Amino acid sequence: MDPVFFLIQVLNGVQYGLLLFLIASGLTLVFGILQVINLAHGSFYMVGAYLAFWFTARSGSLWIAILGGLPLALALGFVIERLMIRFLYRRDHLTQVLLTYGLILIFNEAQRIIFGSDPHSVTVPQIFEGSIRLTDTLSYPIYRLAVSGVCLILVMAMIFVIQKTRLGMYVRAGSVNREMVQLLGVDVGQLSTLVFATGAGLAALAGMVAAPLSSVYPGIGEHILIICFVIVVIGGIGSIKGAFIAALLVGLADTFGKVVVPEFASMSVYAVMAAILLWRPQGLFGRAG
Amino acid sequence: MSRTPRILAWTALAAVILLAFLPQFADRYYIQLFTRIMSSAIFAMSLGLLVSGAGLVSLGHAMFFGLGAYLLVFFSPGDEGAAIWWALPATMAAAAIAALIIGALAVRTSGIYFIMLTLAFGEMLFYLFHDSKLLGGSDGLYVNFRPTVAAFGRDLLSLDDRPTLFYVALVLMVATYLGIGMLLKAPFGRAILGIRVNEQRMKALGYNVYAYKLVVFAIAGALAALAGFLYATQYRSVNPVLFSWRESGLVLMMVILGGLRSRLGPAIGAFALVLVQEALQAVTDDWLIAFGVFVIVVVLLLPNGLAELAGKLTPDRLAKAANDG
Amino acid sequence: MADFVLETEALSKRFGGLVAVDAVGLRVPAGEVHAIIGPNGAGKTTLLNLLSGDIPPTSGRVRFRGQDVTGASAHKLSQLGMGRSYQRTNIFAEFTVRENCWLGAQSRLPSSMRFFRPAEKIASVAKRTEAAMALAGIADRAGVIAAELSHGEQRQLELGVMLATEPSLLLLDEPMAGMSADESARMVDLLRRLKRHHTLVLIEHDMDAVFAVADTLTVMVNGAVLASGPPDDIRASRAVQDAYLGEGSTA
Repeated sequence: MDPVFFLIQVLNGVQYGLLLFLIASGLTLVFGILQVINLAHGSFYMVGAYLAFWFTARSGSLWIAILGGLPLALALGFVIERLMIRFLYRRDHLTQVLLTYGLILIFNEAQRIIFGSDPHSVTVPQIFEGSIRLTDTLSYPIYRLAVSGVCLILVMAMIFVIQKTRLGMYVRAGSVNREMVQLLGVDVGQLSTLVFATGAGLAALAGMVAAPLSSVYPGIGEHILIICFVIVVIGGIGSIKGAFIAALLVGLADTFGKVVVPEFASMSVYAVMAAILLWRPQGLFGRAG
Repeated sequence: MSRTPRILAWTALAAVILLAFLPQFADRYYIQLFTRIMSSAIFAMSLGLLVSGAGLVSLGHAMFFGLGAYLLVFFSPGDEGAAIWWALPATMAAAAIAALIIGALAVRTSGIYFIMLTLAFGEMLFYLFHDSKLLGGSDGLYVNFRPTVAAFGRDLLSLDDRPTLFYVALVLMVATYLGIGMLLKAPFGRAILGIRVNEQRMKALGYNVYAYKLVVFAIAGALAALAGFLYATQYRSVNPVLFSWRESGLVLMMVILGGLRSRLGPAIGAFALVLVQEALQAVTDDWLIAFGVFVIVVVLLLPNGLAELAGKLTPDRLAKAANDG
Repeated sequence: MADFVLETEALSKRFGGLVAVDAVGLRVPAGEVHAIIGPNGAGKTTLLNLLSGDIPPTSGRVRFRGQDVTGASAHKLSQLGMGRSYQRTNIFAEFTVRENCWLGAQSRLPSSMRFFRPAEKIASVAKRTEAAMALAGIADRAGVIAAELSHGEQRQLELGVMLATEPSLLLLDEPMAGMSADESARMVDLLRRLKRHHTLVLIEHDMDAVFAVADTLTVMVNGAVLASGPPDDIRASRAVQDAYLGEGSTA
């Protein structure tokens, strides 16, 4: 394989992985702290993508889309948590799965009614248009680098908040023992809403930022959701570190899979998952049992 | 799972008898509809065995249904129908083997992990059949000729005849119900139920819990494949959508709608769900949204499903309620 | 060495930096009632969990009837003849008393992978179930759902389920937890009856009961063995009194 081509695939894989991490981190925190399995998490990604499409179609700018769309997405996350997710905290997994499955159906149909079933595209912001010349024949889109950059900044911000702030401490403690955090005087209800809404916001932001890279179509949410589940399984539930490594692994596996085994590209991610589970049933950093 | 309450058992028997007469007075459309409902009932009962029996919530069970459907295609030679005597057992056996392989990885986990793993494996199979030209790709495949039911050179039944297929489905549905019942009364069933209630104690009592979970996973997979085989026989076309997580979610919905604590629950849920879908589709094009709302409402209001509702309507309960109220 | 039913050598369990069980050595001959006592947090339950295979040891060895079983799983140890009861009642709440004990009894079949004939027709399992219920003193409540039993009856069922597996070594974690005086007296009787044909290792805080049935006492403090020997020796030991008994006998 040509080294520059290899480099491009690595960059793509890392970029995809970082994007996935943004989405998966919300998922793993909601599992870990709120103990809720939320099938509709992918819907937030889809909401972000469609908000990007809607805003850019009207204003021509992705910036406005993000500025306008992000608060909307956060508000949506807030509302969903208060109205529905609250019910699920003490319930069993089956109930959670089915309730959030119902949510997906509603989200998808609402989106179909509003936007229709055709794929749409979103234009790249002007300053990121164009590509960097790497060789005579190969170049790399600047926007992809920008996406990686944004994700990286968000990742570092997340790590900072979780490791270095008091809020982060409560979040980490909550993922181990919810009752204990309550005894510390923290309003667990507010913490839950914050965690959930943040997860939703991150997923939506990921959707917005990724929209120019591929088209926006019905069902993108579910595909991403399942990939994120795979990431959480590989990384271990509740482990941000695990989710990060797993996300990069999955991003690279998917990218190289498309190049090396194009007929079975989609399966490469699952093959990696199966291999890791054979070796470590609880995931890379998961707590056993 | 609790013993089916009297009233429910009698109602079910009456329903089966009614069904037996259905082809005499109903038109083609309803014969087809109920045939499909019955294969869904078998599918739902197989998942019920996993969920209510063993406590294993699988969000990928459709993968075995899809496998059963596709296997009929592969076992059918191009110029005539497959002989059901070997095609059906072979399909179920192959699905059981696939379930053993997938289960070997999946069953080591539990709870959220198991749900996610089964979802992921389901998707893996979806992409396998979707992306592979050899396996039919996104367009799917066709069964040119329905399986034959023949012996000593003579056709015993023709599955091309709608009422005949209906009766075959009815017999298979009842047989599945009775078979699962037999399984649950046997030592294996007792062990499985014990595992659902208190897995850790079962280990401490000397049961190799992993092995039992693996076997029940394989049995459930084989039964799901039976349902898929029946489906493919009816419609003669299969495509990767059969493996999708939406189908897995739908069948899980049937199990919970019917009631987790009842052996009859999944079948009740299958009938109720498909009929609700039919009703909604007749009323509006945007029926999926209404269906989504329906799912949420059911989950919130009927945690124990329809079967419990029936249980509450037994004569002595009604009398007690009249006395108390 | 085959004289001892249970032997451990420097058995330890570490959770990260915390040493829960510190190099414990035990030797339990056949037919003995060996009580493990000590203040809360001394590592007694963790030790029992190590012995029963519910958790794997960090280091050390365990021998059961002369066979090295270090790190063996709980289900394998049960099949070898170990029985375990739990401090927090660990029964099958939604099943009846008989169904609870049945599960224990059925585990002694060569295999429960039998799919066709009804389980209740198996005479050997039925016999074991009846015997276990009678031994545990709950035969008269056979048809009652476990969740509806009184606390004392549930503790009896806790033992009954284990007894149905016909173990030779019984590991009992606070069998008397939460019992009234009457219930405790019944339990002491039961332990005396069990003593005739089984080897017992039990954790208990009820000192009257302990001194009534135990042949040997092992005192644990902070995960390690402080002293071990006949009850009178332990009662007389200064070190033990300072560490534990002096503060009051029942938890």
